Amino acid sequence: MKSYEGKTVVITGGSKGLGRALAKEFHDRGATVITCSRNGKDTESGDGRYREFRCDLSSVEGAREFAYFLLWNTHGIDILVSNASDPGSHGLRNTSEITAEDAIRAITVNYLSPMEIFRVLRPSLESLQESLVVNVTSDVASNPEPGWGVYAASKAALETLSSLIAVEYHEVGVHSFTFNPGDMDTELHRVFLPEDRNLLDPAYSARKLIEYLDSPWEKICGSRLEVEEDE
Amino acid sequence: MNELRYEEYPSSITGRIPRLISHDAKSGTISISPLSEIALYLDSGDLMIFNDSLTVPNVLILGIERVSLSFYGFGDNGCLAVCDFVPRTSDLRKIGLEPVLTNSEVCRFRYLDRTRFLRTLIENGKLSTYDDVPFPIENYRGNFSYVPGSAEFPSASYHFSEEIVKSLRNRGVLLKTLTLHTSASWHQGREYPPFDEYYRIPEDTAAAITGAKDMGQRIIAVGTSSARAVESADFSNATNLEGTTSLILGTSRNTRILTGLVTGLHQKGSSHYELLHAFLPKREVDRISNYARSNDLAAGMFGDLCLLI
Repeated sequence: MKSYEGKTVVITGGSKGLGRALAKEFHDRGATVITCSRNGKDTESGDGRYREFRCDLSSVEGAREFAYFLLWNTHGIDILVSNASDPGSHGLRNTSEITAEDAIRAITVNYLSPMEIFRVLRPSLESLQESLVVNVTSDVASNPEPGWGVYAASKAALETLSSLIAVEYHEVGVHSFTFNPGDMDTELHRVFLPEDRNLLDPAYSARKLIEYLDSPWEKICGSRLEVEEDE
Repeated sequence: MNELRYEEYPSSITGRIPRLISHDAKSGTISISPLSEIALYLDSGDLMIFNDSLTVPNVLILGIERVSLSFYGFGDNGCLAVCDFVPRTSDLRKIGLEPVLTNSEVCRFRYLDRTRFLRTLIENGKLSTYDDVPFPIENYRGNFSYVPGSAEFPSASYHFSEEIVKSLRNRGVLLKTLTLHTSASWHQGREYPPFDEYYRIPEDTAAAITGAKDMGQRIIAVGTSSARAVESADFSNATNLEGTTSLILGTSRNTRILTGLVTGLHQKGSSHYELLHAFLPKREVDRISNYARSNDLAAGMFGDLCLLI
């Protein structure tokens, strides 16, 4: 098991689902983990290696505040995982059933906030020999299925952001890729498909992501990595 | 007209292309070009040192008396502030601070709740600038700024876009950073002398400075703050690369390490203008100043830049 001792890992949306599972896995491997959540408190764990900030990423101001918190509380960020996601609608909705107001919220959480956080943190990521931005995506980003509307569109935008970061910043040691964690047993998935069975445990997807990080980061930079359902 | 024109607006708003006036000490040549051509004046192996300190929106108004505090000197356990009046202890506690010393114009505080204090600064802090209404905070940041702590924008790096930085790297110029947090020198219409300011020079930057010196390469500070930090440190002793400094470079204190400088253009008589005299005799400084004026270069943090090599 690769050690992340001395590394700083930032995960947006760390209070549940994949974000929470990732926070635990990285913490178990020795990393200092910082997360944010909308309803959380500003807390710090006893060992000082887990911190949570209350921040609402449904506004770019909220995203910027979180990014400034990170700068105040870190010395170089090794890994940034943009995981926080908003479904954009209450369940499956066809295109004409989604208002622009609903869309703005999802596009902000899923695309604009990751972009704003990256913008503020970029010099910090660049200050290290090597750093990594992981953007959590979904099947529907590249294969839009009926009813996934603005969620699919915003994740497609996030994938484009991820590819751009990869080509624009790999020369200065900032790598980026997208990760599709599969259909997981999470609150977000149940918003769309409450009846779905045979879902992946977020902890399983989290471990799969961390396995990918064992490869040299420059090799996975720019790619779209999937969880293969091999069990 | 003896003064330089003052550029009020950031180029993110005006789209203005910053210019560079460069002075070569060996030949005495002065020339003007777009800043984007700065790499052409430098050689592979030359070293440029940027300040990575990020400007903090550091002014808070407290309590019903509306006491204005300009915070700086942020340490692990507490911070300092220039205050126009003595703030109430109860108002300070609300933002996570405990007063330690409040009987002078510089107050000292201990953090009761650092996160709460930082949240207050991030959410409610105002930038301290000479302008009445500051531009959005992103206009007070350079390409390398990410260590929060400056009370006043170290502005020389403002115009170094990612494209210009890349052109310098492609040229083989070595780019390194240090941290110097500027203090609050301007508050409520009053100017304060520079206080002791925290600086830190990372080991790899120190090694690059020593290496460039041994190889006879140029060592160029970007900005007054960067120059002061380099000239304050003792490179013969690795433990003396962090501390506080009140060093002012000028006629009476020349440089020992730096061979060159990038700086904004400043009016005669200002301390920033005085800094040029640490590098060049008065006659040459006057020549640069006159040349800049006759070519309509602009002063101010969003103005044009000057390169001394």
